[in-house]
Amino acid sequence: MTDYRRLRTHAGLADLQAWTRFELVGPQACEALDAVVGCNVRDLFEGRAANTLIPSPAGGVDAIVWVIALENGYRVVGEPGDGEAVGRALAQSITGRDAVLRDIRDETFALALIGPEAEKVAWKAFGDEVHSIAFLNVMPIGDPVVLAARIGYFGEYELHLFGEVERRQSVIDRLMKAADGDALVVGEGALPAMMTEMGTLSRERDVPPDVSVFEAGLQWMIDFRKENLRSAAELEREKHSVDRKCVLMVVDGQASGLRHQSVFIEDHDIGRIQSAFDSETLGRSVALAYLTEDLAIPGLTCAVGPDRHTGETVSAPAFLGRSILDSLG
Amino acid sequence: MISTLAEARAYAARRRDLTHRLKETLVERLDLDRRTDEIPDDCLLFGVGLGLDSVDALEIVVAVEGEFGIRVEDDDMKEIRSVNSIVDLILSRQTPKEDVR
Repeated sequence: MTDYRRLRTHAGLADLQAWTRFELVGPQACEALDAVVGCNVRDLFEGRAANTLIPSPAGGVDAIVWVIALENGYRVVGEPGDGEAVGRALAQSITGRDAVLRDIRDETFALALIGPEAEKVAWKAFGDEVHSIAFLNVMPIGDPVVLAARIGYFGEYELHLFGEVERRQSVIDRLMKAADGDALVVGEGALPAMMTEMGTLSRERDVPPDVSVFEAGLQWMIDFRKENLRSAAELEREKHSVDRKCVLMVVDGQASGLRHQSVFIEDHDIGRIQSAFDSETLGRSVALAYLTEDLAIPGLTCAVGPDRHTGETVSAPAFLGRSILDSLG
Repeated sequence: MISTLAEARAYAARRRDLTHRLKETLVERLDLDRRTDEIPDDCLLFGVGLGLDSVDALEIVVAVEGEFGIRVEDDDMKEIRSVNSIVDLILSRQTPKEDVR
């Protein structure tokens, strides 16, 4: 069974050790974080998580992150490539404020238990508490305690686990035992394809520096009514100058040959593939493309690249994961 | 199948109109604290995205049935997941002439 198939049909444990993790504490931690990210941190209650972004000074995207509110402060987590931008923005924001920022990547572990059977594995490992963690909720579980967060990238049940790095192996062993010896640990290789299938954007992979928040379709991550919204004027300007938009595509042909290829309708060049991955579920490639604004809609048949591979623009997600279908009955 | 530029532009215009109407309907009926241009077409409705819940889902069904004149069956509920997916559902139920208010 491939890692991808395991994650989409069963359960897998991905080691996200390299992913970004910052801790922000102190009396003005909320204020410092709220000045940086798009969501309203002041409305984020303890034990809740929000998916948001850090706007760039030009109205683009510096980082895509999850903000987690805890009893004693905040965690900011994200993909590995966003660590530098997150650290720089937060370090600037705490200057002159009573708040302390720490990069906790080296002292904590980060694991993600993913898949339609993942909740069952987590329950066997940690007990009934697992069932009380709703999506977007975070709570400490187990003994020794790990922080469990129901945040999501891949369109399946996901439980992200954080704890002291010394306890990493014991947590893995516990989960392996709960999986009844089943090969649980997977690599990260399947994750980009799974994100793309769901239309989940990676800032590093899918949002070039010259693309605005609105062109990427990430404006839902921003509370535009915040008085202290970072880059507010630039975002307002970008709102009215959208030339292209990100759209999900399903394309014939190997993904490796599709990246950065032009997209055509008849012989008219209407945009470019940004990223593409082979989808085991669809038996075709899934791609994120930036198409001219007036044609960036689902339902079009296009040709991609010099070989004119057939592709269609589709609504995201490209399909519902089994975890979601099971929950719908 | 839409495969010529002229067909694509005609379809896009029709779809944009429907999408805008749907966003206006959602903002009004769900009393969302957002403007329509702050809601991307692929914005998820539940959990992340607009952060709606199961009560909102029922209101969406009533709103879509009322505004767009289609019947939303129980089996359709899995299509109620994003703005675009609802537009897909509406388009699949309408003939080209039916979307004119």
